Amino acid sequence: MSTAPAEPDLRQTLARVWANKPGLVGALGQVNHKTIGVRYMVTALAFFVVGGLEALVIRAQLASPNAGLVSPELYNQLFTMHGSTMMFLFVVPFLEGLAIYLVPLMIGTRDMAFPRLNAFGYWVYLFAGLALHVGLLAGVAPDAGWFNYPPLSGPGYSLGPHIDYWVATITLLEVAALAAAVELIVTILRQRAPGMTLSRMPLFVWSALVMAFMIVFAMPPLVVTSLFLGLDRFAGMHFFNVAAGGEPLLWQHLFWFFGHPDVYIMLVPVQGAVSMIVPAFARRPLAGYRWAVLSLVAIGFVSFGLWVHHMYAAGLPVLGTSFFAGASMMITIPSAVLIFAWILTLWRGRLRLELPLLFVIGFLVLLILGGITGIMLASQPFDTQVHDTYFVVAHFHYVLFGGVVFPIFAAIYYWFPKVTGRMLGKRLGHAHFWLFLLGFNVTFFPMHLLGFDGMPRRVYTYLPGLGWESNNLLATIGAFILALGALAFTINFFASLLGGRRAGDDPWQAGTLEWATASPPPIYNFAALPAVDDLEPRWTEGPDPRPRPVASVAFDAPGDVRREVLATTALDARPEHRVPLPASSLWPLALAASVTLAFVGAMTHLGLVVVGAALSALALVGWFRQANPAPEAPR
Amino acid sequence: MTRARPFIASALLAAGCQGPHSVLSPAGPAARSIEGLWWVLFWGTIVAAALTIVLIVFVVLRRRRVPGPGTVDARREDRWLLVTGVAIPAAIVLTLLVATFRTAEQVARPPTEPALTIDVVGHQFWWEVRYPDHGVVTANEIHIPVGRPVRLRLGSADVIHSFWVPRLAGKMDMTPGHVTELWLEADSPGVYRGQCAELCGVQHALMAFLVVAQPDAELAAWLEAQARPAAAPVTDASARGLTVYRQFDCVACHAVRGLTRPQQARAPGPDLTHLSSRRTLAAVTLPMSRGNLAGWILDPQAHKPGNRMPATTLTPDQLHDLLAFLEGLR
Amino acid sequence: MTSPPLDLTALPRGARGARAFAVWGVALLVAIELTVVASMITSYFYLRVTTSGPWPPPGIAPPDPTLATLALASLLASLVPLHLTLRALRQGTPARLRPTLATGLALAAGYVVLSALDLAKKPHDWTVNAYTSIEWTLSGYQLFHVIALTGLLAALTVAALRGRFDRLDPTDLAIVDGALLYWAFVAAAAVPAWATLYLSPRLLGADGGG
Ligand code: HEA
Ligand code: HEA
Ligand code: HEC
Ligand code: CUA
Ligand SMILES: [Cu+2]
Repeated sequence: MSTAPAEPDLRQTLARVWANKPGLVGALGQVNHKTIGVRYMVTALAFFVVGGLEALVIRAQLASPNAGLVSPELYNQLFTMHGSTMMFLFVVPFLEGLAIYLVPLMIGTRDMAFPRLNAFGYWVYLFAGLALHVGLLAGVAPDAGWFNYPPLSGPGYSLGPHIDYWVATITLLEVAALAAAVELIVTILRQRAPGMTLSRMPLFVWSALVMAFMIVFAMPPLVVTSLFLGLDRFAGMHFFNVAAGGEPLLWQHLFWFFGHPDVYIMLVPVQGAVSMIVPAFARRPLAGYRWAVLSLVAIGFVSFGLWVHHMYAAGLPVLGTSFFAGASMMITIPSAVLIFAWILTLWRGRLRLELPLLFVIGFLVLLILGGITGIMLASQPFDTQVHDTYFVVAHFHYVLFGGVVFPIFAAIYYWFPKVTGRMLGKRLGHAHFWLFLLGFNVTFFPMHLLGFDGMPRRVYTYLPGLGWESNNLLATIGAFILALGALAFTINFFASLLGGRRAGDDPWQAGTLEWATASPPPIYNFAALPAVDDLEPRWTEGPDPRPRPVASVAFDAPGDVRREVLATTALDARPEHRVPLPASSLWPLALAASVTLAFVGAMTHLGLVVVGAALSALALVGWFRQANPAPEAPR
Repeated sequence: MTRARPFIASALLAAGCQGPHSVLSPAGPAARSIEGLWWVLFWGTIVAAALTIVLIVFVVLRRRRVPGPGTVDARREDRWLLVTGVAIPAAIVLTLLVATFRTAEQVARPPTEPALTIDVVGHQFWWEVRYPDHGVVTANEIHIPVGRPVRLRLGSADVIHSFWVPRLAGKMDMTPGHVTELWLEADSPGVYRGQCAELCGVQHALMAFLVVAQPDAELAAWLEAQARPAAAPVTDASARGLTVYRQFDCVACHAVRGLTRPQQARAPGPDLTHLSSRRTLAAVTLPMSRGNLAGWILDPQAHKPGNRMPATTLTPDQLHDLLAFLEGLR
Repeated sequence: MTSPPLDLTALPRGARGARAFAVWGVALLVAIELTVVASMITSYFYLRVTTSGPWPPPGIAPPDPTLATLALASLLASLVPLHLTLRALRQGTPARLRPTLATGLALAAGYVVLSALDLAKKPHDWTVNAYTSIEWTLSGYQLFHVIALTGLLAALTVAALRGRFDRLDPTDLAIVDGALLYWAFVAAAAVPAWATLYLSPRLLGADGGG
């Protein structure tokens, strides 16, 4: 009864008003958040395979001492590209894409605040990722590690274009991330369904908000420091050149001021996703919602005060490092609150052990194991022993692969039906899970022991007789088991896409708004805009909730349906005004291409920077002229 | 592509290296303090982690069997969260921090004032070692007394390296423009392997060194011998070898104190004055032997691809003479 | 839920000022740029304290503040037309946007010219040492800001002259609101940048830190 306005002809009108242009121009000009979100995620998964294949070559080279599969030069490029691909091209863009796809659905709106900015961000990301890999194909990929310390990465010691690729493309990628962050913040704060006060906001949306704010404050220092390095390399400056008064430690401070929050930029959104999946499969609301929100926000804040724990071996004063040791260990508390909130929910719920929950349980175990090695590393005297060894490699794969990639797959199994309308197959899904769990531990557990045995990271080979042979061989075997798991997923993905079981609108009987619309959702998301009175607006109160209809508001005046979204107030989501949104556009692509020309052009000729900047200015003019279409003729 | 020639572990063992290259078999006070800290960290976290993991497995298994709906009791749940999520972790973490700060104190300063200061400078891909009070310059091999701390002043000639002897102490970066300090002490005589721990270029992997701990008398003798300039060639072959050495421009990069000096103020290659007294070649890539020396000089890139020494083409006679000269540098 | 759905069909289209999405977007852009400027200024002082000996390093005279101060004055003077633009917007008198935006444009362009002259007059370029590198980079970034602002004001002035704002379309005016926020930020950020580059070498003495 409450869904009165959603008659069939409203749906048709909405479909017409929100439709994309057909054909190639339409595809290139798409601005809908679901298209952009899916593009982000699919591209990111492709880069995951690339990064994974790079890892397989690394593992093959390290399987035995003195192996000659790759040259030292190529090896250095491989781990640099592996780390950079996984961090910059896979995890962060995937999570941005997930948020771009899900947030409008979860908060009950039709698109995001700046649709063309969304498209621009995606194109920049794609171009930067491709440009970085051109370097690898040409054999001149970056080779100074993913944190790229000068002076090794500076003009004096890194000749040829290697590092130029890193400087140009990573800076460009930050532009994309910043665009996504601005987009997410405004959308989350201003477009929530009426009644969705901050305390009724789903935890994934909270986590996307925290992630976006962290991006806003963490990425600029990286932009600045890579600008410095670029100027050292392209314009003969001396930021990091000791002989001319430069300071290599400046890079380390600025990089890790970004780099440490960056790892929580990856962790926080998956913690949000897990906080959605756990209640859905425990059939009850999350225990301690308020504490969970507080923990996510606390992690966001505190993570800006930890960066020095990556520099314990740099010889900084003991008093300073002790402060950072204390701060780093304190991050245990919000992490533990979240972990126990999930456990308590599972304990007090009625479990359905479906694939998404299985991956979540794998995640919990591996995050705890990776978390405690993090606590150990935070202890600065201990860190001086294992810093830059395989113990650290083990730590960060436990938290990154176990703590981020596992829940990414949980999210894929959970939301795939929403995105595609089909379920992912169970049998291959189970094979995928167990191969991952086994392969993961066989690969990365032995690396703890290698670290204790003194094996440094980033070595292209090692000499026999140091006791490193068997653990390395084991790790290599594990990596190939992981690859089999990835293969199982790949097959499952395509098979289910084409012939998976139909999902229906709400295969998991979950409580939040994204399940209140069709699967896949129509281009306008909701015909009747929802109104919200609870954290789980689709569930009755208490344990073992039953579905209930979602209330809605009358937004579209009959006969005057436009491409508009509802703006609500930031705190308590009261309806405020209607916001006209632009239609699809080629300007984002044009601007992204011009910006890419400016950045990548810096590698060859500074004149190209000027050309790219001029073209960008032109594209911006076109963009804003299009932004203000004359008001439509009155109805 | 080229390949590193296998380095036979027995060479190291023969050189007296005891046990593995392991953080957990400490052979000096600093490494031992840290090993003690490790066990505190290990037990402090592993128990909490294991209990949590057991709890997760238990919850999952139990809940699959228990029928009926779950329960929701927000106030009790919040209380539980504060205990398990805040109180217990905070208590554990504070304990770990106390242990951390105590160890940090212990390893920050040596137990007694070091009598000996050694300067170590990292180069792309070898270690320059100087004893400023004794006029000794050598490479890739650091001799220290047993049972007494030495002070190391660490610097770099090019990029960032990191100085690390796992069995003796934690690592310390060598950053250009900075001089960092570290102290080392070994409990008993022996050879301890060290390794560069910060990515410094293509041959970061093969940038190792040896720390040789010796009783005082041996160390004094070693220092005295190393401080002497190189002996003039005694045989005809080695005299011709010196000519070869000059002729093929080895002097451009390597000093042989008393006979030749490098043309640059800071030598780009290791000091060779007492080359043949060293245990290994090219930063512990090859054991010292006539054959390896010959192989190294003819084609350094085959053994350590990407290192900074160019190949030299010599006739067999020239090589023979050059080796005679180098072997005379004891 | 049996109550009839809330009727929102009559909500206003578009919004102005602090409610407009455009202004929120610009506010976040300002947050990003503030972080950039803060990182650069921090880097300046980090390089200063890690440099032993005098600052600026020997052979480089402390920068002459004359032109830079004039440029700054020009930019700060533009706060007056900014204020008048804001008032015209509040009072809904779009015709008055033409002179105020044009004056703002002239003053911002004044900054660009004076600051470019200041850079052109420097006796050294950026390749001498780390001091000159950060000096040129910070000045260059600041100049880049103001060039962007000048371009923005030029576009708005043209739009105003062509009567674009006479329609009082809220979407258009919200963009002007956003531009004003950016304008205020650029003028404000010029002060710490100027103080860092021209004042700090004198105020903090010629001694470096280390
Ligand atoms: C998603 C990624 C992620 C996450 C979540 C973390 C989490 C943590 N990390 Fe990690 N870290 C990385 C990614 C991540 N890290 C990466 C990529 C690097 C290496 C970069 C490079 O050098 O290339 C790194 C390196 C790194 C270092 C530097 C090591 C070195 O180079 O020498 C340190 C040092 O302090 C550290 C600490 C921590 C800590 C304290 C946490 C904490 O957040 C962990 C908190 C979680 C828990 C503790 C588990 C849950 C708690 C309980 C179950 C309660 C019971 C437990 C206790 C009471 C202890 N990390
Ligand atoms: C999210 C981040 C992430 C992820 C997921 C991974 C995944 C993996 N990493 Fe990663 N790794 C990093 C982030 C990550 N890594 C970072 C940041 C560094 C530091 C870099 C630096 O030092 O600068 C690093 C460094 C690093 C090293 C150290 C290199 C060195 O220091 O010398 C090693 C060594 O074993 C390694 C191994 C692996 C392996 C085996 C996987 C596996 O999980 C990969 C699994 C394999 C696949 C996913 C393949 C998929 C393939 C298919 C789907 C096709 C199947 C086809 C066939 C089988 C033919 N990584
Ligand atoms: C361009 C500089 C250069 C020239 C010329 C050069 N070397 Fe070297 N040499 C090096 C460097 C650099 C190393 C250190 C390599 C490493 O371990 O990474 C080295 C290492 C060595 C070593 C091993 C030293 C040790 O302690 O491990 C020997 C022996 C040696 N060189 C001999 C020679 C001889 C003989 C010649 C002349 C035929 C020569 N070098 C010419 C730069 C040079
Ligand atoms: Cu020197 Cu790594
Ligand atoms: Cu960190």
